[in-house]
Formats: sequence, structure tokens, C-alpha cells
Amino acid sequence: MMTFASIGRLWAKIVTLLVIGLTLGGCWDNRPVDYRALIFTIGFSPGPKPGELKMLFQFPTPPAMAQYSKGSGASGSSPVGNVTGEGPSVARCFNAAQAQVSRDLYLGQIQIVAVSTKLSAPLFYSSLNSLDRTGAFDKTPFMFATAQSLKKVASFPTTQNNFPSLYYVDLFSCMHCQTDSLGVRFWQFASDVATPGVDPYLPQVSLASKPNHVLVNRVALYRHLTYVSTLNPQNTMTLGILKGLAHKVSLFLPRQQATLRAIHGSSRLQVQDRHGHISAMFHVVLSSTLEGIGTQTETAAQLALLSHEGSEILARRCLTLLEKTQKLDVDPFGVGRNLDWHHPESFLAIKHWHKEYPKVHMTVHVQLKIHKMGDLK
Amino acid sequence: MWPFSQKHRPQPGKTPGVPVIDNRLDHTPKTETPHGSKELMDNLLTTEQTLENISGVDLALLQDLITETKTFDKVLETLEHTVKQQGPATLSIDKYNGSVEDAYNLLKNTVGQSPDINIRRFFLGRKHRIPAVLIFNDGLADNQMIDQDTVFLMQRYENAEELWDQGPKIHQYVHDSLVSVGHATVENEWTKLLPKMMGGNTLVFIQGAAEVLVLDTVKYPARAIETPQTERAIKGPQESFNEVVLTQMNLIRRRIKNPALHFDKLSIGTYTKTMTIIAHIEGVANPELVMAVKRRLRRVKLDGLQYSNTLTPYLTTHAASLFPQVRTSERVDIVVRDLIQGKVAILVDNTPYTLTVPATFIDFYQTTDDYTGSYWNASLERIIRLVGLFVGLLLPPLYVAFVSVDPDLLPLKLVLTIAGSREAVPFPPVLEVLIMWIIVEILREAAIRLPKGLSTTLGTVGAIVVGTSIVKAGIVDSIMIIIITLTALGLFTSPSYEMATPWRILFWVLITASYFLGLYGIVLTTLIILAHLSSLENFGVAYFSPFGPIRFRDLKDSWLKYPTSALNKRPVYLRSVKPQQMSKNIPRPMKNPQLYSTQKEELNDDIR
Repeated sequence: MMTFASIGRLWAKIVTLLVIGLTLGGCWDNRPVDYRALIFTIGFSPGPKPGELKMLFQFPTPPAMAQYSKGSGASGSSPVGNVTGEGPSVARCFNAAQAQVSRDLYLGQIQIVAVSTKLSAPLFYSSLNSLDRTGAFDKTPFMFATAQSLKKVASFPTTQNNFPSLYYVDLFSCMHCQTDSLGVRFWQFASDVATPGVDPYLPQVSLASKPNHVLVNRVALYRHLTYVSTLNPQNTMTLGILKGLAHKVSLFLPRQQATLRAIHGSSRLQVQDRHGHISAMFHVVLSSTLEGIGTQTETAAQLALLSHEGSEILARRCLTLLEKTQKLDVDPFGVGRNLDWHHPESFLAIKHWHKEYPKVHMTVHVQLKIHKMGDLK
Repeated sequence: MWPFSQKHRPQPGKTPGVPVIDNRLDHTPKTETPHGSKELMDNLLTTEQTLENISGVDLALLQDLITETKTFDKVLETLEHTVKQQGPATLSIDKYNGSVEDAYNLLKNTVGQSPDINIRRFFLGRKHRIPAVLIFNDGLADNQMIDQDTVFLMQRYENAEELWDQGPKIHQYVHDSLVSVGHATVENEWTKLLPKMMGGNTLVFIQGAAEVLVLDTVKYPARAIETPQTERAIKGPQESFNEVVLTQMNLIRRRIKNPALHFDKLSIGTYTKTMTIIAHIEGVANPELVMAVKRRLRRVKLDGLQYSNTLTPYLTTHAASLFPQVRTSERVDIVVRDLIQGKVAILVDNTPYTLTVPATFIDFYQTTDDYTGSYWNASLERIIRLVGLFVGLLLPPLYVAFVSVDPDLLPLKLVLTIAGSREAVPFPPVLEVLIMWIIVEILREAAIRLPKGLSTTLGTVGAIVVGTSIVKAGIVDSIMIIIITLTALGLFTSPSYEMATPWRILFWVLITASYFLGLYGIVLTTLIILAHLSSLENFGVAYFSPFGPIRFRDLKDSWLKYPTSALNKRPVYLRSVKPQQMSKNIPRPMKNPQLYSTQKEELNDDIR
């Protein structure tokens, strides 16, 4: 039989459970999605004053969303709204932006994080740190860098998608659609920043004035969080080959007037420490398709020759890129990280990896296999 | 003409050798009406006369009171007379005393007041006439049996003198040699006689007999055996129970022609005396289970039992639970299948819905079609029912959770579509769900209550109103229409009607949880539901079996149905005393008959 005391204890347990359940974080964040301004793109650039940040918040406008849900095309007005906030911290920038918008600026649907190459490392660090601590932010958005105006790049209208952010999301999430799969997610970038022995990189977006389109064929290299340099399109393709991210790289062999397309494959990095001398070897196994050849028809010997020549050219390009990165003291390939994994004692003995990286002996083995597509007459 | 008048009454002592019948019918019993009631009635009559002269007074109430007082007066009078007739208090007042006159008075003043009760006095025998009284319920008894097989034969009987010699055993003689009604019994207690008469039996009171003849003349209008309305099946038998418990038993007996099938009778209801049958197969059902059912039902104390579902709380350990723990079915084949499995069925007179216990959660998702088609078909349909349950139960709560609380979990394009479609909607998602579901419930209720022809029209009107107008009016968005339609369809994929109800209620709990706590609330509520289902137990059987506790053998006939050859044993949870229900391997004699060689031989024979 239940006594008053036991009934009291039972009620106390029930109430405690209810209170715990109801006070769990985020449970009372009840606001319908149409009452929020869904931030799809967030941008970080240096503010007008030194040490200040300028943040861009881009969200789709209600009429554009209504049109999107009905499946109709874009209207004359811009489909996105941009608000900027300036301040010494992310929170201050956010408050400044919120003051300009009637709806709740919602950070749970951020798809793109755009970063200016001019952003200083301390500001970049504090921005990433603040973003990382935002509850609704899920760390999966894609990141890109740009040297141009963030607002222009983020709002650039494309004919392929209603919203610019959708264009970038589709671009980066489709691994096999691009020449190199350059998409870098927030967590990957943050991981590279935090891991010793590897430097992060970001795809760099630029706007071409003639013709009017977006270019995403270059990579911005960072040393920790400091912007160092931007690779040209060819080096970017080579970086893709060395990192195993190449999907649609093409190569023209002038001697045979042959074109190899869809060069893709895997790459394996092997780092060794021989008596204090560190050497890195890249084993790249590639496949490609012969698109055309000067003789119109090819023989097995010709194919072997093409394969050999192609491998040599690509290996040379890879070595050139590696030397360039060594000169820049930037290790986007994670040679140091690989050394840390396989020879931790050697890596720990190195005080500054960036001083050691230029001394690493680099070797590249490229094995290119060509598939013929048939005779074209 | 009253046959017991002075003119026709045989005079005692006038004819030697003729048995003298103590004529107590002759003299009018001079019982004294209790003074109180007599005076009260006189006063009432005087008052009525007085009031009649006064205009504007409603006399109906007073007249009712007078009628009731008259009835009460008669009952008192009869009671007093009966008590006096008992003489020394050796006989119980409940026993028939052998006097047809007393019986007549008693019946006339009690049940005889009712217009559906017919009381008839007559003489047994043509020459030597023995007074008798017959009483039956007009409408529930077969008039032809009463007229031809009872009254006619008794009145025309020639050897009444021989009968009279039987003394108190006269009823036995009549039973053995006179009446031609198939089933006749004897009884002498009024408390048993009257309910039997009310049930359609005919009572024959014979002067001097110690017992009363109870003739089974039961014949009342009954519905034909029709197609099941609530549990339709594409294939399989199309017979359902009707309201008559005897027919229900016949339908079961027709399918289980084995003396092991037992029907145990129980009468429940102080006033209704409803015949309740506990059916089981001896040697299959666990005797402990049968005993438990009987014990529980014997404890039922009710004034009236009209519906089989009234017994459900008595057969359920956790009566407060939302989930049905007793399976109700109007399908004969389902009840027979349950009996063969080792369950106990409870048939209740006047209800076509039979109860079977113990029932598990998965029982409510099994249908006749699962066993009449291929096991592939059965498995597919059961999985669709499970998906329907999840869709129906979780789709609107998930919508509310994702749109209101956790929009960060939605894919980008979907969040754009939803946000865009909701731009012109003035209500929050939870209110949208509320509006739409109330409309669906109203339409559903109206469709059930309306005649069949009108319900089709209602469906059309509902579809137009709900599907088109409400979206055009901007009250709800178009995605909500899709969600609610899927929900309504999903929740009704449950083959058992009673299983749909708990989900319809829990739907609201989930909506509330999702509104306040988002996805976390849905997960929390689902866990609570699962925990509750796992905790339920009835007749020692876990309700969530075979999932909790896990019974691998029984999983073969759960959400997936294995081939019949794999279901060679009865469910573990029933603890049947005969676990094996078929041989393990299906024998295949003449697996590859030599058709070609036989044909060739035959053809060769013809050519020769």
C-alpha cells in the first residue's frame, strides 16, 4: 500500500523527469521555418577598422522561396537578401545584422561559408571558433575563399540554380561533376587547421567579367590560417591528381597529337625517415580515355608510348607543384601528418615542420593507364 | 369462456373412481389487501375525481401513480397468498407448489402484466380434464410448436385418468409420452423458470405436478449469416457471426468436428441473463488458461450484458491501457484459427463479435488474407501495414518537429520548398495539423453514421473541401494536405478497428511532444510507447511477444510470414499443451510423375 511519503517521492520523481525533459537545450526553440530568415551563406572579411570583422549574412527572400516551392522560374528581383554586420566579434556582427532584419536570422541551415583571402589569421581563428560554438551550426557547410567582394561572389546570379548558394552546394557536393573535387567542408578545414603536419586549402571562387560567369578552378593555400598563395588552374589540377581528387583532368600530348581525357585515379603517400632524412613518395595510379590521336587509329605500341609519355609529363608536373609548395612552406598534402602517423618519434623530434618541409626529398611515381574508346574515322 | 367456472367444474365426490382434484380455483381467494395500500388507492381515486373537475390540472401523473399502485397492490396480494398457501414454512417461496391456480395468479400479477407474455389456461385430457397453465413469450417462442406439439396433443389426450394416477410425477409422464417438442426439461424454482420463459421457452404447469415442464420452443428472428463488414478479406471464407450464440457455436462446430471442442456455458447479467460461452479445444489450449478465463468471467457481476466488449475489462490485466488486449472478431475463420492455436474464445449472445484471449500486439495486424495467399504476399502486406503505421503515426509529428523546432535537420531543397509553401499560411504548423485532423475526424465520424449512399457523397464533398478549397483559401499549405492524407490512410491500414484507436490518441501525444520538444520529443514518446507495450501482460502472456521478450520461433509469423511448412509449431507464448500443429516436412509423393512415358504408352496402346 502506498503511503503519503511514497506518493510524494513518486511525484517528486515524475516532476524531476518532466523538468529535465523540458529544460533540455534547444527544446523550446519553437519557431516555424517561415518565421525565420534562413541564412544559407555566411561570409567573413576584414572590417573597415583594423581588428574588426565584416560578416555577410545571405538568405533567400520570401517571394523567391514561394516561387521555388511552386516550381516557377526566378523573378526579376534578386532571390536573396544580403545583410552585413561589422564588429570586433561574430556576436556583435550578428547583432548588427539582426537589427536590419524583421525575421529571426537562423544559423541552422548555413550551406556555404565564404572567406576573404584578405582575412587575417587572428580574425579567421576567432570567426571559426565562434562559428564552431554556435549550437545550430552543424559544421557541414562547404567553404570557399575569394579575393573579390564577398557580397558579389555570394550573390552572383547563375542560370543553373534559383539561389547562388544552391549553385555552390551542387557544385561542391557532386564529386564526379568537376575536374577536381575541390569541395572542402567546414569540419575538414577545421580538422586540417588543428592537425600538425598538414596545411588547409580552400577552393577559390572568382568572377570573370567576360564572359560573365563564376570560376572555381583554383585553390587558395593556407599556412595554418594565414593565406599564402593561390595555385593556377593547371597546378590546381595537379594538386587534385596528387591528392586523388582528380576526376576530369585532360592532357594533350603534342608529339602524337593525342588527347587524354577523364584522367582520374588514386594516390598513395609514403613517407620515410632514413637517418634523419625525410623522403616522401607519391604513388599515383591513373586511368584515362584516349579521345583522339593524330594517326586516327592506334596500336598497342602507340598506347604504351602514350601511357609512358603521359606518366612522365604528369610526374614532372607533380614534382614542380611539390617543389612550389616547398618553396612556399605550405604542406597541403599532409606529408608531416603522414610522418606523424608512421614515424611519430621522428615527427615529434621536429620542432617546426614548416622549416623541415622544404627539405623533404620528394619522389612521384605516376602510372597512367589508357583505355581506348574505339576507332574514329 | 372461463373453463374453471362453476358450470364446468367437476364436482368432487359425484363420480366414484374419478380422481378428485382439489379445486382451489373455485373460490375466490379472500385475501385481505393490506389496509395501507387500499386506503392509499381509495384516496388517490377520490383525488382524481376531485381534480377532474378542476380545469388546467394535468392528471397524467396522478393516473400513472394509480396504475403503479394497482400493480403493486396485485403483487402484494399474490405474495401474501403464496405465503399463506405454503402452510408450514417447509417449502421455499421460490418453489412451485403444484397448484396451477397459484401459478396462474402469480404469473398474471407479475410477468403477465407485460403485453408480450401470453398465459393460457387449458385442460389436459379430453374426458378427464386436468387443469393446466401454459405461459410463453410471444415472439420469442415458436407458435407452431406450442399449438401443434403441445396444446393440441395435451387437449386431445384420451387417458387423462391414467395420467392423474401418476400423482406428483404427472409431469414426467407428460414429458415422456405426450409432448413432441424435441427438447424438454423440468424445473420448479421460479427464479430459474421465469428467465427461461423470457428466453423463449414455454412453461407448462400441470395441476398436482411437482415440477414444471420447460419446453424448448425458442425461435426468434435472427439476422442471416452475412459477409463480415468490419474485417473484409479478398480471399477466404465470407461468413461472419450473427447475434445468436447458438448459431455462433454451430458455425464453429461446423469447422471443428471434434469432441475436444468444448463450449462451457455461463449466464451473465442479473437482468439480461446473457448466455456466454467459453470455447476451447481440450488437449490444445493450456488448461490453466481456460481455468483463468472461467474464473475471471464467473466473477463478473453486472446488471446487464449486451455487448461482448463489456467483458473486456474483466479479461484484461491492464484495463487502463490504451491498447486492446482482447481480440474481437466477427470472422468465424479467425476465431477457429485462434482456437486451433490454443486460445480461448468467448461467445456472447446478442453480439456478433467474439472475444479471443490471450491476444498479442501482432495478432491485431494479422488478417485472413495472410493465410489464404502466398507467404510472399502476406509478408509484403504486413510490411506495408507496418510502414502505414509509422507513416500515419509519425509523419505529422515529424513535420511539426522539423518545421517548427529542428529546421536544421531538413535538407536544403526541402526546407526551401516547405518555407516557400508556408509563406502565405497564417497558422503555425501545429495549428495546421490540428485543423486538418479535426476535419478528417469529423468526416470519418460522419461517414460512419450516415447511410451508405450519403457517405459516398460526403467523401466527395470532403475531398473537394479538404483537398482544394482549404488550400485555395490559404488556411493550410499543400504539403499539409499530402501529409494528412497519408496519415489518415496510414493509420487505417491496421486491419483491426480497435487497434486504430490507440494510435489515433497517441498521435496527439506525439504532436504535442514534437511541438514542445521537437525530434527529441518524438523519440522520447516512442520509447515510452515501446516500454509500455513491453510491460503489458495478459493471462501470463507478454503483449509485445514475440518482439519483447524475443521469441525467434514466433517471429516466423510476425511482420514477415514464413512458408506454412515453417509454421509447424504453435506460438511459444500460448504454452499450448500440444506444441506441434503439423508435421515438419510436407510429404511430396510422386514428386516427378512420369507423364511423358505414360502418355507414350497410352498412345502406343491406341495405335495397336
